[in-house]
Amino acid sequence: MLKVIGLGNELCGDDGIGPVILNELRRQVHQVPVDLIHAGSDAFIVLDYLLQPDPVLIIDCARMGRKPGAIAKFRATQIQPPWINNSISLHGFSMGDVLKMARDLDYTTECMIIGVEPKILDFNTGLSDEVSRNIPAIVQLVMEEIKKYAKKSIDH
Amino acid sequence: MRKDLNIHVHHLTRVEGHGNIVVDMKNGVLRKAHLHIVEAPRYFEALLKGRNFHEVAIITSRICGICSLGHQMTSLKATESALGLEVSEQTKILRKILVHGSTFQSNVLHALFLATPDFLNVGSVFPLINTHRDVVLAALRLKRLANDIGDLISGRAVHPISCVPGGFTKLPTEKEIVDLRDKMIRQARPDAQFAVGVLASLADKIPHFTRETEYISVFNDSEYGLYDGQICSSDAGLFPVERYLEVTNEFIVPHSSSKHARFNRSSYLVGALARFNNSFNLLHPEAKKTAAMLGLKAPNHNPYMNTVAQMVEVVHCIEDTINLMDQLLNKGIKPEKPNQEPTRYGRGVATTEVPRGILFHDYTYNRQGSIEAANCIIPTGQNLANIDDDMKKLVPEIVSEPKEQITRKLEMLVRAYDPCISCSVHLLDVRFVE
Repeated sequence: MLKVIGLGNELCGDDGIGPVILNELRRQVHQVPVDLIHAGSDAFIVLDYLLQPDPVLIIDCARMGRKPGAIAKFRATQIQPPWINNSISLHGFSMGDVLKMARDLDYTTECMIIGVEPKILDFNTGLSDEVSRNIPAIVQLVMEEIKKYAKKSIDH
Repeated sequence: MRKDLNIHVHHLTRVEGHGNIVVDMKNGVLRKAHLHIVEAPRYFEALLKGRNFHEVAIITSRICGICSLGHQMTSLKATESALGLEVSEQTKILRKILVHGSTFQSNVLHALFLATPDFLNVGSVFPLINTHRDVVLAALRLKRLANDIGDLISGRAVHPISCVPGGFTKLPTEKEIVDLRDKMIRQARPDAQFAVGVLASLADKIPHFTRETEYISVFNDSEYGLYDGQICSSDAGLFPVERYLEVTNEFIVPHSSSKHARFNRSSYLVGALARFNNSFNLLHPEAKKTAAMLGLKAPNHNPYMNTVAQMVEVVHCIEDTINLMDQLLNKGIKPEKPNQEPTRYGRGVATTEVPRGILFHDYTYNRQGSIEAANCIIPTGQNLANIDDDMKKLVPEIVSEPKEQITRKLEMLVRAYDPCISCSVHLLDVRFVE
């Protein structure tokens, strides 16, 4: 079953987009076989799912050098190997570190990422207008992926 | 003997947030030995003002992704104290299991992912994936089991959802507890023993350094102090949690944007080593055996041994989780609803041991059940003055060693405390493959 993971902190501006989308999805995914997982600000949790067989779809705030609110869908394998600078802490175990570690552990799970370019990452600011207005588009994109996987699993 | 020494570690690695180590010795006189904290404060207390009691723990659990459970527990207890909400024994047992899960996962990851690279003198956990893959996988399995505990009892692995003021909105079934208990025995015990063995094999890599300080932790005379209890100072004895401000005495120093704390000396230590020193007799017998095997005796005054104390606690938390699950199963899970009818409005203070040490939340509610004032004192802030004092003693003792070695030992010292300088923003930096 597809695991949809919302990553981010709702108290940190646009970093909260993952959990916000997850809440939207909860209202829409009845009768569709999917696991919705709230990972909050613990990116480390994602590693566990990458090492299991089920496909993973991550919704995360991503700094891609695009305009605030821009949405991109890509495979984890499309990202350049993250620059590792030994800066890992349990708290700051970033998504890039998780992907690097999963690669080193030879993960084979299919991993798609829906990244949303942030505008603000300050505490207690809520989502920016640029990101907020794209919520329906992000939800639609995720729903398409969910339905695609649901169809695949039924076909099998 | 070297007379001059100048060390500046900019943005120390493997700790969260921005901290610099600064050492300045001139003509044999140590002028500076500090951990500079350069992270901007975030004022969580202001964020809570005006929030209803139903929302407060949800917000505070997002102060930290790793200690989310500890913040949630402390927040719930402070709210319950302020509003006069009694909770059942069953609620307390379930909460204790959650605290154990959170503690053992954080401790094992710190010991194996952050401290072990230091002991093996490799830059990070990544080289270990090739050389010590079984260690990495054992740590990940323990982490997964802790996530399972969170999922089952609190509805989520991180940022709990079903533990609310007054109890739980959803309870696990007895069958689910039996299954999880089985995993604790079949999986967690052997993985923990394996991790203990790894640490034992690295014991000679832990630096020898001693500086007695004041050790402060939660103390509870009926169990190892984690979930709840009084404040215990190794110098001054027990204090009710409501008097926490007399213990913490926060103060400002020029080199840190985070407040420091002191009580009976110029600094005090919180965390696994403080808990171990203050509550050794209350550890599970298996944890005591582990301590003996790892050469840790109470009281211990070597801050580098914090990592060893953490591993002792891993064993304690696993064994006590099994005991608590047995208690639940013996009594049977009762279908309780959370008690959310306030009997008063006012001030409530609570404390819990989170993996890095004693945590305080202090709330004042108005008659509408909204926060009027809040104060949260986290463990890392309480340890900062102690880290500085350790450095002041350590530097003269190792000054004749090569500069690179001195720097490494100072970095290891700070990392032994596993400080959390900032946390919670985890966005992904993306550069696409061209």
